[in-house]
Parts: sequence; structure tokens; C-alpha cells
Amino acid sequence: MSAAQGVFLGAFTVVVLAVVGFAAVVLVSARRIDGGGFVGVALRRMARSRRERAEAARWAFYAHRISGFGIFAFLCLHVVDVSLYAVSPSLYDDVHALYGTAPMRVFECALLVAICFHTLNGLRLLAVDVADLGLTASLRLLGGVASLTVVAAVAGSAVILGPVT
Amino acid sequence: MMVLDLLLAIQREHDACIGFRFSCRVAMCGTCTLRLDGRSVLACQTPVPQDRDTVRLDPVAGLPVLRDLVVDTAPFWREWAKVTPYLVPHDGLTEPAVVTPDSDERRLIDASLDCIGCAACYSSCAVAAGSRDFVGPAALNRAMVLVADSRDAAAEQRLAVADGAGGVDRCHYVYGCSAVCPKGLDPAAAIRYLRKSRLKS
Repeated sequence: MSAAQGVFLGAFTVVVLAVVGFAAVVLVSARRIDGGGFVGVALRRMARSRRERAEAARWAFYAHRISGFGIFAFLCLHVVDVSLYAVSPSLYDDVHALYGTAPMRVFECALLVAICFHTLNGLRLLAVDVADLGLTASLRLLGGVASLTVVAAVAGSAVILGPVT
Repeated sequence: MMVLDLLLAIQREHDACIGFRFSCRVAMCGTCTLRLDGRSVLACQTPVPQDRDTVRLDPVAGLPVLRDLVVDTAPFWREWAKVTPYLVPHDGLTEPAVVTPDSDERRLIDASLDCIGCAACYSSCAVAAGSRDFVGPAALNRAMVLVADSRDAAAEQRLAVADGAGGVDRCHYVYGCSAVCPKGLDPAAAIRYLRKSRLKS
């Protein structure tokens, strides 16, 4: 491993730890709020009645925040590693060779899930405003968001992991 | 047996010092709000679940706990006061205002009028109860009722609050408010109405 790759992996570790830390802060603070942060309680409540399924929107809110932070944190690192091309094309190639390794490809799958969910859920929130959607319609859209995220993630992951499987 | 009956039984037979609030017992005063297994409910109207041996009771979320299940509701009422929660009549009127029962205005307002200020919506809002700067669903629902009222003259100042830093833009459509309201109101719909109203104004 070259020195540049070592520096990149160090920065990448910092990004991952920051995302994990942010997720912990969101979920721990959510414990102060109605149902938030208690996975078992939330699942039981969602199974109880149609009205309780609004809990899914709460978890979408937490997931939206965590995925948004994760995408932003990685983007900051990615801007730096892409701009290495301006410094030296060979340095750029050296660092970017890491993206082809199996662990980084697994990370890219997780990034794809985050981007798909964050984008589609953002469009859902826009649709709630534009089309004046109530609770039931919003939850139906959330079901669509989850389904599309799974489909896109599975299809994308097959492409991303293809070369190493 | 309601949750309030359970609390009274605990107070009588096990712990005379347990602190909780109640008053009317008919879902009108809004004082007995608490969280049952995480869900914000009125203790006087919620049956104790029969399908298990233990239940979890917590005080209302997002408000300072004074003792046991008793919270300080002052922050909730401070937000409520921000929207000028009373009718401000137009000056110089000599005739009584007429709002017919079948008018769109009446239909819009009626569905949001029965708020009892129980703070269940505030407690279940991931933004308001998260101690972030947000006026909250109850206050915005009240603002909508008055903004939609043709007799009211203070719509602009209410919309200024709704459009401000802690206003409707803080809502992330978690829908906790509409899901838990014990009176069946839909504060999220009121927030959507206010978002559109400020564009019109």
C-alpha cells in the first residue's frame, strides 16, 4: 500500500466513524421522543393498527438524516480524492485503485442504498407538499420509496460487486 | 380499565407519592397526557393493554419533567402564545359576521377546532420533542384555524410566525402529530395549509 492510499484510508476511516457517531447521536436523542430509538417498541406499534404505521414515517425521518449526513461526509472526501487529478494523474490513479477492492465495493453498495433512499424520500417529501398528501397517502409513497430503494440497491449492487464475485 | 384507573389504583394501594395529573376524565381538559409504551395518549381514554403483564409509562416527551409523570407545560404554551391564539376582530364592524355552516371556510375550520392543548402532538413530533426550535403542531394548527377565519384580522402576523425560523419549514412530515391526536385532528394538514397560505399571501 502506498502512502497516498494510507492517507486516503485514514481519512475514509474518519468519515465512517463520523457517520456511525452521527447515527448514534440521532438514535440516542430519539429515545427522548415518542417511540423513537426503541426498535422493538416501534415494530410492535407498527403491527398494531393502521394508524400506528405512522411510526414508519418517523423512522424514515431518522434514516433520511443519517443517510444525508453519510452522503455529505463521503462527498467531502470524494471531492478531495477526485481533485488529486489536478495535482498528479498518477497519484489519482493510485488512490482510485482502492475503489476497485472488495471492501470498498461493499461500501459503495451501502452508499448506493443511502443515495437511493435519500433521493426518493426527498422526492416523497416534496410530493407531500405539492400534492397535499395526508398520512395514508404519504405512507403509501414511503412503501414505494422502500421498494424502489431495495430494487435499485439489489440491481446496483449486482453491477458493483460483479467484478469481485 | 383505563390507564388513569391503573394510576389511581397504584396511588391508592402501592405508592401514595406517585405524581400524575388528571382532571376531567372525559378527554376535555388535556391534562392527563402521558406515553404508554412510547405512544402519547390521554390516560383517561386509553384502555390498559390486556395482552401483556407489564406496560411502560413515560411522561410527555420534549417537556421538562417535574416529577414522575408530571411535566412543566410552560414551553408548550409559550409556543402556543407565539401565534396569537385568539380571534383578533376587524375594526369598525357594525354587523355580526356570517359564516354559513356549509361554506368551505367552515368545513376547513371545523375539522381542526377541537384542540384541547394536551400536547400529545408535541410529544410525538420528532422535531418539537427533540428540543429543537419549532413552534409545534398544536400551535400551528391553531394558527391555521385563525388564518382561515374570514373574521380575523391578524392573519399576517400569524403567517409571519409560521414563515419564521421555528415555523412550518421545521416540519419534516413525520406525521406523529396526526397519528396520536386524541381528538382526531390532523395538525399535519394544517401545516400544509399554512405552507400554501404564505405563498398566496
